[in-house]
Amino acid sequence: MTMEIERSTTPGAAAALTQSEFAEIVSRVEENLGLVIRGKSESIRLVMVALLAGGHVLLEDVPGTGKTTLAKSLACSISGIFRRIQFTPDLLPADITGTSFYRPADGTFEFREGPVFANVLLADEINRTSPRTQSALLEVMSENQITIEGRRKDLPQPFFVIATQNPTEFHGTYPLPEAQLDRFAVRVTMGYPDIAHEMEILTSHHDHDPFDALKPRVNGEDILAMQERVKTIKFDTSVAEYVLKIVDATRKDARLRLGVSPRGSLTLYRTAQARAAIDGRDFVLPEDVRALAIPVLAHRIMLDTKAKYGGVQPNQVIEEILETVAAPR
Amino acid sequence: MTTATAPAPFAKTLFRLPWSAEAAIFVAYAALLINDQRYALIGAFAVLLHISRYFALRIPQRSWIAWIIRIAAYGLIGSTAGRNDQGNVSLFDPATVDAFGVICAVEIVIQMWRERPGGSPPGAITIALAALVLSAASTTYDTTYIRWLAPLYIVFTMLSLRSYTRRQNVVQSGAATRPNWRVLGARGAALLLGLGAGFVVYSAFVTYHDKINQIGDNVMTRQHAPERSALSSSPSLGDSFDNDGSPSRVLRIKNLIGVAHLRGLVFDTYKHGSWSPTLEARKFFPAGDRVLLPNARGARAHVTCFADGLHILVAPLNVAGVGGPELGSIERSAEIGNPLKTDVGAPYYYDLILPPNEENQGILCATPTPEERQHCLNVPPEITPEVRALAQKIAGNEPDDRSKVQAVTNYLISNYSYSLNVHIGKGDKVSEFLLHQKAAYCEYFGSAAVILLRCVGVPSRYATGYYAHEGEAGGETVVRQRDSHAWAESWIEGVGWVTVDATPGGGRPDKLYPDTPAGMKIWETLADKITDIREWLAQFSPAALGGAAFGLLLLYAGVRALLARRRGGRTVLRESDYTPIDEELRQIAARFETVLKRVNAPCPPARPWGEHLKKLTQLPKAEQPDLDFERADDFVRCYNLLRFRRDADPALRRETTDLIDTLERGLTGSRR
Repeated sequence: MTMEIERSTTPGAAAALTQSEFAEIVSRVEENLGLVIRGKSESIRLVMVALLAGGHVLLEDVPGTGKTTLAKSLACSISGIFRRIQFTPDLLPADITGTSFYRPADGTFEFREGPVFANVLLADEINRTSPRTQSALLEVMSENQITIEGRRKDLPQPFFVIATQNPTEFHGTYPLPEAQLDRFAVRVTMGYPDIAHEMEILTSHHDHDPFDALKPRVNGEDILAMQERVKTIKFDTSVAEYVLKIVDATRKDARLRLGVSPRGSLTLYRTAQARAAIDGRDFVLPEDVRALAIPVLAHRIMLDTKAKYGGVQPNQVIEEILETVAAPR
Repeated sequence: MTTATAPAPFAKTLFRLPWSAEAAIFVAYAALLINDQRYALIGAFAVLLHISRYFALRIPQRSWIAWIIRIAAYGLIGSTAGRNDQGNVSLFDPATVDAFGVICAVEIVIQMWRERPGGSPPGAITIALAALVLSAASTTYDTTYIRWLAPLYIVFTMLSLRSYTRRQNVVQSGAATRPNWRVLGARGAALLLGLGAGFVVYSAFVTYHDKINQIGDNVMTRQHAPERSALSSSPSLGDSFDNDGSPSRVLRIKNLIGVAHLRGLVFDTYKHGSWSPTLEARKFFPAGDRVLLPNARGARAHVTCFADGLHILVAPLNVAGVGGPELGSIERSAEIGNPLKTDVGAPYYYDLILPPNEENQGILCATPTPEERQHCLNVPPEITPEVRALAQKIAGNEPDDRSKVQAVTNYLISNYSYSLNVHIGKGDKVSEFLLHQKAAYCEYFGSAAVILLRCVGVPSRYATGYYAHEGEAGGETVVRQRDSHAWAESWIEGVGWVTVDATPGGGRPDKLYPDTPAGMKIWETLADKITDIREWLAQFSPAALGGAAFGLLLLYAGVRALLARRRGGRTVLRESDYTPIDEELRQIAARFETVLKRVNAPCPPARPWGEHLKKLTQLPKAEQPDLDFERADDFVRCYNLLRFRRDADPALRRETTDLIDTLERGLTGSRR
């Protein structure tokens, strides 16, 4: 089922969604996703946080861990349009955004929308296509609109991209550089499920596909309202300072060639609000910032050569920074 | 910089040595302490090791603090390493082995206090180091205590291996406490293999320890291993002389100008081809600086002696003074040419004061007593009458002693030739040389000069030493083993003792050997540079050197800290850096911090309370602090509303205060 939802511009829509309604919707969606994706509640939560913060997700994982399933399930849960782009080296930017076709019958050009016109877009193996094609998608992600032949076209709302990248293959790939990874709100690694949950997967797929049993749990309008509500979550000055101190520490760390950008600090700010909202609070705690620091910041920093070849990992750097920056109390 | 985290008793983040491993280490420490009571500090190491289990503070992985501690400790301990008779560090001296053991003991403590990569336990390395400590302690003749302690050590180590095999974080239902026998067996086998290999290596060391020591001395001493001196303490005339012309350096002298004959020893008694008395037969007395370096005037030459064996201070006959700050003691004989000796092992250094007058009567030229004079005139009975007649013929008609000396010297140089091929059959060596052989090497010429001069009434003695001829750029003279030489010294009335060299020119060391290869000279120059540095350092006391080294370390640490600060190194930010909150709330927060400290669960500055409480509840029951977690969670929830939501509800504040009161009341009657 697909429905294109107009972007809500009614300010009152946000206020109409109470905290309990918000939490209830989130719970329904997560429960829905949990029917298909077993044992990955933390990953599901991160995806929800990114969605409600208005950001996009980068799933970095080996094949077969449920990335496509997660994207399709999410699209189904929010009754949105789901499109998938399988990136290949010969993909062109127009294959993403759409192209104009000439109609000889009446001598006009007809624009055919590309797969980017969707609510949930799965950009599979984004590192397999050329940087030019990658840029086309990334530009769309940041602008939420496309300009083709001088005409502006808005993307449907909500617009949510889940991009995937296989971290183990290097031949014939164009890994996204850190400067472009910055466009993704969070980077999630799902990993293999543990034995108990994998057994549940096997059991649930015994004679049917659990995906077929999924039903929409929320519409796009509610998602937009939830995104607006997230923006109203209180953010104390001291917690904002905490965010900035963490980000500042990444800019001053001797092991990093590139620290977190202001886009990163804003994303951490917004995702912390989303997490607080999902937790049923109308204010952000330092715990929210700490819990999201690694998924939100680790892919935005660049290690210097010595640290990289010394075996230092970006996650480790963020962890150590979190242990050295005092939390407000 | 060290990251100071508050102490935390969490077992999962802090590795503790199993009790058996700690006991094994203590046994090794005890063995070392019994072996060498100098290292009483080992007790402090044991304490430091034990208290590491109570504190979470650790030196970070990449911190230089561990290296500072190592350098300081190793330097201090290494300075107590044993030295052998020659003053070189001996690898097998008990003190050296003990020092090595103490270094391993220090390293165990450092390993326990150091943050491990990935949190891995330092078990394996501490086992290995403890084994080395025990091995070092076992190098003793008193094996009583080792017989008891070594088996105890092995038992504790085997017990500790069992603890290391248990995985602490893997949840295996029904198998959480079963040891992994395969791993245990493999580690036990590795231990036995290590012990066996260690035994083999140790046996090899014991068997070949002389050779290994020699190698160690060569590496650790300032020059190559000291060469044996070519000067014999009891020279005797032999047959053909196979002089291999060793180019090994014996002396390096700066500012030696116009001097060739460097005298070592002098002998005055000839008997059947041998000169005596030996060095061992002479009496030596401490010379004292006042005797050797009075207000001596002259050019100062600096001698570096690489040769060992006799410990003789080689000097020209006319030297006015001898001394040096490095020489521990100079001994001097009051007889037979007043040779000088030192007990310092090679290489050693000393200065010579050289007067311009070649015939200056200095400290080596004491006026002979009547008895000494008689000795120096004694012609042994084995010298044939023909030799006496020859002497009279050569110099019997000369008017004075100086001309007699000249006549004998000229005669020998002109009528005899230098040769290494000597075959003296029966009869006296000198007589046969003078009358029949007429070709021999410097020892014969020197001996012959002495005998002939004695025959004409000139007191003479036989001298051995070196002939310096190899001058180099920079005013240095190098004397090599092959430059050893023999000549005569004669007493001339009105002048004193003079050098008499009757060896033909072609037989002197400067004519006998080819030039030293350039490559060898370059190598010697490099080695000399290192020697010069060591000599420069030797003028400073150990305390001064230690202080300088410590100062350099501090400077290095300061520069690194400065650079880290400029680069924006990680710093711990304080709570007070945030926007301040109202005083009442701040006090409430302080009270809760105190509650946590009193239940021995202080919250690290970087961790929010909510996260901290969650971690505490995830600990095993036995390790959880005695805290009302439900109330603590309520408190944190209320506090967060006040603090981060800026909730102004007075009821909320009262509730928060009530909760902290309750928590504080809950502490009374409990621990501490």
